Amino acid sequence: MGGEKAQVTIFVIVGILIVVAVMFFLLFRQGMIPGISGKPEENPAGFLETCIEDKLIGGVEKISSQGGYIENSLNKTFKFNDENEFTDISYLCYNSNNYFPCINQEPVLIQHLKSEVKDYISDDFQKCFDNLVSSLDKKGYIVDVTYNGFEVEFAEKKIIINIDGKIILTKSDETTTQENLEIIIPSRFYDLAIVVQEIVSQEAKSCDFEYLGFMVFYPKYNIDKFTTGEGIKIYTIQYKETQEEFKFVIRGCVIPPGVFA
Amino acid sequence: MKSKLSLLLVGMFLILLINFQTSSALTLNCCPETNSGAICQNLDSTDSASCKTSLLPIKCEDSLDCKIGCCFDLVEGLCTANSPKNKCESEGGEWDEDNTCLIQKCEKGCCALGTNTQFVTDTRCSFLSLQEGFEKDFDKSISESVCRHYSLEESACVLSGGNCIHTTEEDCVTNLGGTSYDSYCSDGGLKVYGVDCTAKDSVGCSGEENLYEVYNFDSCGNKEDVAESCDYPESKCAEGSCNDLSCIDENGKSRQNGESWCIYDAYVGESRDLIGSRHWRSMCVEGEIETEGCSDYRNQICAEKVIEGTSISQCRVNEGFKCFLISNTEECKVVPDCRVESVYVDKYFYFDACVPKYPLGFDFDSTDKKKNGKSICSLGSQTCTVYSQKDWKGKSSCVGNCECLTDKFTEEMNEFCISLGDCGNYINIEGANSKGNKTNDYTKYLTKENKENNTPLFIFSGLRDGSYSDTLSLFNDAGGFEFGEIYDGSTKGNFRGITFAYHQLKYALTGIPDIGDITFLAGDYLADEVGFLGNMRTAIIEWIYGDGDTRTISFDCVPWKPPVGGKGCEECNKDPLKPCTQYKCSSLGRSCGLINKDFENPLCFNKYPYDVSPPVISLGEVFTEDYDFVNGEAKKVEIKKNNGECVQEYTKINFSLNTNEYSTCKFNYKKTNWITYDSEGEYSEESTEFTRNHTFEIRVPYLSHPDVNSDELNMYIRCQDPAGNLNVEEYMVKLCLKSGPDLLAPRIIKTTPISGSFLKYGITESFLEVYLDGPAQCKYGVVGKKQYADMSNDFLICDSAEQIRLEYSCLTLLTGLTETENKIYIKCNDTSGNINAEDFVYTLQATENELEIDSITPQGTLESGFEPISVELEVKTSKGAEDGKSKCSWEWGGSWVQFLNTFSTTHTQPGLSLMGGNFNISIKCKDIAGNIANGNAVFNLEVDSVAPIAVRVFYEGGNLKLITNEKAKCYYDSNSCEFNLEDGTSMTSLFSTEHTANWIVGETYYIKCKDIWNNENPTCAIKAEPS
Repeated sequence: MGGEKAQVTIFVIVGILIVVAVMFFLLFRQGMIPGISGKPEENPAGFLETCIEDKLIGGVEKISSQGGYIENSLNKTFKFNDENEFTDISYLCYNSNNYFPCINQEPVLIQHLKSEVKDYISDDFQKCFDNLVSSLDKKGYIVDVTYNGFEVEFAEKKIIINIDGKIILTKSDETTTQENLEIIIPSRFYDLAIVVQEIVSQEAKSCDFEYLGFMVFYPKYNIDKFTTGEGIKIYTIQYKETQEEFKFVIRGCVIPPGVFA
Repeated sequence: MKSKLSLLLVGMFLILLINFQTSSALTLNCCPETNSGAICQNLDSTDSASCKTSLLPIKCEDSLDCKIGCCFDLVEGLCTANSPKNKCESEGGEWDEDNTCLIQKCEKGCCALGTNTQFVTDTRCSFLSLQEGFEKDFDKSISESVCRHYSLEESACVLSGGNCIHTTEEDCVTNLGGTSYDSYCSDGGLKVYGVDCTAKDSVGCSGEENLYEVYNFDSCGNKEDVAESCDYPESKCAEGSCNDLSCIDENGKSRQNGESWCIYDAYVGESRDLIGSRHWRSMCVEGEIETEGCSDYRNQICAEKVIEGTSISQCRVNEGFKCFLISNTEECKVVPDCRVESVYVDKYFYFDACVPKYPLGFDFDSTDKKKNGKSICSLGSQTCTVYSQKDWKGKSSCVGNCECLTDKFTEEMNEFCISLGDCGNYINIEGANSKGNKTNDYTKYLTKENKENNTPLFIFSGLRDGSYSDTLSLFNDAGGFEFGEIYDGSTKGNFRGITFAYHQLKYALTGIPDIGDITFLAGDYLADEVGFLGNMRTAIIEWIYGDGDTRTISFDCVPWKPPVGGKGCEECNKDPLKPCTQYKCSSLGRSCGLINKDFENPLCFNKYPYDVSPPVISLGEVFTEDYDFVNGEAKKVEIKKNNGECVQEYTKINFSLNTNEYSTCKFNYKKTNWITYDSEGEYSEESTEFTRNHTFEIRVPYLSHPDVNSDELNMYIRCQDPAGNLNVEEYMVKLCLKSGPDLLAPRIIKTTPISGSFLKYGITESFLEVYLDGPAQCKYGVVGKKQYADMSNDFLICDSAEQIRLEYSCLTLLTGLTETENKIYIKCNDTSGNINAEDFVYTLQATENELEIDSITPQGTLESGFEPISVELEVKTSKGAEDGKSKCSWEWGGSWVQFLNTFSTTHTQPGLSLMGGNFNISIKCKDIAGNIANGNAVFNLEVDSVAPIAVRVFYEGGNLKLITNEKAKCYYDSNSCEFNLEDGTSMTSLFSTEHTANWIVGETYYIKCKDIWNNENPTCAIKAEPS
C-alpha cells in the first residue's frame, strides 16, 4: 500500500517537473525566437525572419531546381525518375550552333541569383514589414518607421537579408530604436552557386567538367551529369549534408550525327 | 603503284570533306538575343526570324557587345570563361579579351580562413577574409591539392572561466580574447588556469571539411591527434571510424572510390563498333557505381588508362572524322582514332584508305545526307573495270581484275564500306542486319571482350583542350576557304562524280600508260548494299555472252538501314542505367520510335504494332510531256504517248505512284521474289525516305537491251511500310517501246565545267565531262566542221550502254588551252551509229590577267572622338576573269568573313565596331575562275578626347586672331571663362584652325573652343586683353 502511495507521489512530482519544464521552455523560446505571435517589439528581426523564411526557402529551392531562375524562356523541360513533374531547367551556358563551346548566359551568376531571390521575396517582405508595424501599433507603441528596402546577400552556409530602415518605438515615454536589421537564413545556396559557376566556366572553356575528380577533392558535394541523346548536359549538384540541390543545363560542343552536318 | 592509289583515295576524301565543310559553312550573323532568350548567338543569316532584334551584319565575335571573353566578378573574385562583354559589364563584372581566363586576376592560390582553407583568386580571398572576419592570408605558391590539406596550426586557447578550445593563435587572441598555449587543452599544465579536459576521451570525425582521418577528442570536445588515417579516397571518416568507399564493378572487380573505367556495349575498334552502340563511363563514387553516357552516335568515345592499378577514364571527342583528311599511310597510323583499311581484290584493284577506328553513327531518320551518312558512305562506292581480250577465234577471256567478278569483290568492298560509318551490310547491337537476320558473319562482334589495343587511347588534357572549335579550325587550316567556291555553279550537284573521275583520270594519265588497267568511275548508282550482288551477277552473264572488251562492276556503299518492323524496340529499355536514345532506338527497327524524350529514361516502342497490311499502290502522275497512264488496273498500268504511240527508245520517262501509307518503293526490270526485296532492285527517287508519293525517273534503253522483252520494258514495283509489310505481288508499269531505227543523233545535255567557263590565270588544262541522252562515244578537236572519223581526239572514258541510266557521260582532259577563247568542237556517235551532223561547240575562256585589288579602305589613320569607332571596309577589284567581279572576304580572329556586299567589283562591309588601336585586316578576293587576290587594310584608329589648344593669338587687320592646333569652333565672353558656348560670341563660322573677333582695346576676351568631336575646353583656352 505504502508502495502505491510512493508511486503516486513520484508520478505527481514527475508531472509537475514536466509542466515546469514545458513552461520554462516556452518562456525561454519566446525570448529567443519570437514568432509572429511573439514579441516583435523585442526582436523585430526575428519577427521578420519567421515571416519571410518559408517564402525565401521556397524561392531558393525553386531557383535552384530551375537553373537559377524563377522564370526563363531559355530552358530544357525535363523529368528525372525521382521527380513527380517536369521542370523547366534553365541553360546557364548555351550555344545554338553545333561543335562550338557554350556561351555563358549569366557571367556574373552570384549577382544574378541575388536579384532573382530579391525579386521573388520582395512583395512578401514588404508585407512582413507592414505586419510588423501593424503588430507593434496594436500593442500600443507609437511607431516611426523608415523603410528603404532590403538587399539580399549570400555567404557560406547562409543567406542574409540586410534591411535598410529604422524603427523607432515609443511607449510610456520610453523610446527604442532598431536600425539596419539583418536576417540570417541557413542555406547552402551560395556554396552550391560557387560550384555551379566553376562548372559553367570549365564547360565554356573546354567543353567538359571533370566532376568525378571534383567530387573526390570536395567530398561534401555530389555531382551528377546526365547527357541526353542530343548531347545536352543536365548537371545536378547536391550538398550532401543538407541534400540541397542546384540543377542547370548546358548546351555546347554538341556534335550532331554524321560529319559536319 | 599502291601508294599512289592510296594517296588518290584519301585525296578524294579530302576534297569531299572540304566540300562538306564549305557547303555547310553558313553565313553566320550575330543575334544579341534570340526569341528563346539566349544571348549572343551566331545564327544563320536566313534565320533572322529567330532573333528578337535584327541580326547584326557581323559575327558575335566581331560585335562589341557580344564579344566573348573572361568575366571577372569584382565583388566575389570569380572568373567565368566565354562570357559576352556587355552582359558581363552591365552586371558589374570586368571583362577581358582572354576568353579562357588565363589572366593574372584569375590565378588561384591558397587562402587561409581561420582553420579552413580555400583555393581561390586573390580578390576572392580578400572578399572571404573580410566576410568571415579574418586577416587575409593568401599564398599563390600553394597548389590546390596541398591547399586542401593545409591548415594553420591549432593550439589550446584558454578563455575566462577555465574554458579551453583549440584554435589558431590569431583567432584566440584577436577574435576570442583568450590566451594561446602551445599545447592541447588536455595538457595537465593548464589546470592551473582552471582548465579541466581529459585527453583522448572519444574518437570522431573533424567536421565535413576533413574526412580523411579519425581524430581523438578530449573531454571538452576539442580535436586532438589522429587516431586512424583513412587513406582517403579509399575510405573516409564516418561516425568515428574509417568507412570503406570502394565498389564492386559489373565483373566483380573491386574499384576504388574515384576510380572510373569504360564500359562498351559490344566490340570496339577496328572500325567494327556495332550500329546503335554507345560508349559508357562508369565510376565509383563513395561506394556506389554511377554511369555516364558518352555523346551518342559515338561522337564521343570512352578511353581508359590504368595507373598503378587504378583506372581513370574519359569520354572524349571521337576524332575519327580527321581520318578522311589524312593523305598518307604513315600519318594515318599515328592518329589515335584512325587506322588503315586495306582493300585487295585483284592485281589492279586494291587500295589503302585511312578510316575511323570507331566509326561515327548516323541519323537513320534524317533526310539530310550529311546526317544520314549518304555522303560518307558514298566514299565506299567504287567500280572495278574487268578487262578481256579476244583470241584469234574471237573468243573473249578475262585478263585483268578478274577477281572483281567473284564474291571477293563484294566482301572486300563491304568491309571497307562498314569501316566508313554506319554503312554497308553490318549489324546493330542486337546482332541483326538490315534484313533482321541475326545469324550472320558479324555476330562475333557482339562480344564485349575487347582486344586491349583496340580501345580508345587516353589523351591527357594537357595535350589538347578538347575544344571542338579547334577541330573545326583544322578544316579551315586545310584550306576550307580555298576550296570554297572552286566548283561553284558549274559542278554543283555533281561534285562527287566529277571529283572521283578527275582524280582517277589524272592518275590514269600520269601513272599507268595503259589506260585500261584500272578505272574508277563514280556515279549516282542506287542499289541496296546487298542487292549489289544480284546486279553484279547479271552483269557477269551479260559480259560472258556479250562481246565487249571491258565491263565495269560497281559496288555501291549506302547507309545501313535498320531492319524492318519493330520486334526488337523494347530491348532498348531494358537497362535503366543506360537510358535509351534516339540513335539506339532507331537502329533496332524501322518501326521503332522514341517517346518520353524529356525523361531520364525515354522509351523505345513499336510505332506500328498492329499494322499487318502492305501499302496499297495507286496511280500518281506522268510528268513527261505528251505521255500518260493508260489501261490502268488494280496492279498494272501502261505508259504511252497521248496519241497511243509507244515510247521512243532513250526517252526519259518521269512518273509517280502513290501509296496509302508512308513507305519506300523499289523497282526491278525483271520479276523477283518478294523475299529478296531487300537485296534487289532500285529505290524510287525518294530512296529510303518513307513517303506517300514515289517518283520514278528512267531513260528507256535501246530495243535490244536484255531487259527489253518483245519491245516491252516492264517495271515491277514493290513498296514497304515501316512495319515491314510489303507487296507480295508486284505493281507493274509497262512501257511499250517504239520500234524502228534510231535516227536521232546523240544530244549533249550539259557539260562540266559549263561552256563559257573561265580558266584560272596561267592554267592551260581542264577536265571536260559531257552528259548525253544516250550511250555514245565522243571525239573532239580544235577545228570545226570535221567528220567524226577525222577527229583525232577521243574522249578517254564513256559510260557503257548496258547500264540503264538517266544520263550517260564521256570524260576527257583538255590540254593546250592557250587561246583567249578556246573553242572545242565535239561530235558523238551513238550505239545505232547516229553521229552529230553539227559540232557541239564548247568554249573555255582564258583569264588574261590576274585578279587585282585596286584599293582597300580604310588605310592610314582615322580619327574619332569616341569609342567604339564605326568602320566600313571597302575593296575595289579589277581584271581577273570577269573584269574584277569577285567574292571578297576579310579575316577576323582567324576566321574569314564574307563581305556583306560582294560578288561585284566593289565590296563593302559596314558596321565594324572597333576600339582605338592598330589594325591589319587581311582581305582575300576570288573570282569565278578561282583567281585569288590578297591585300590588307592597315589602319590606326585614334581617339581624340582632348579639347583644342590655343596655339597663338595676335592682331591682324583690325581683328583679334586666334590659331588652334586643330579644327575647332571658338567663342568668347567678356566676363569670365564660366560660360556656355552657345551663350558666347562666335569667332568661327565653320570648323577651322583660324578664328577672329573684333579688336577692341581694353576688352578682355575669355575664349573657349570645341573640336568636331565636341571636345570642349573646360575652362578658357586662352584669355586675351588687346592693348
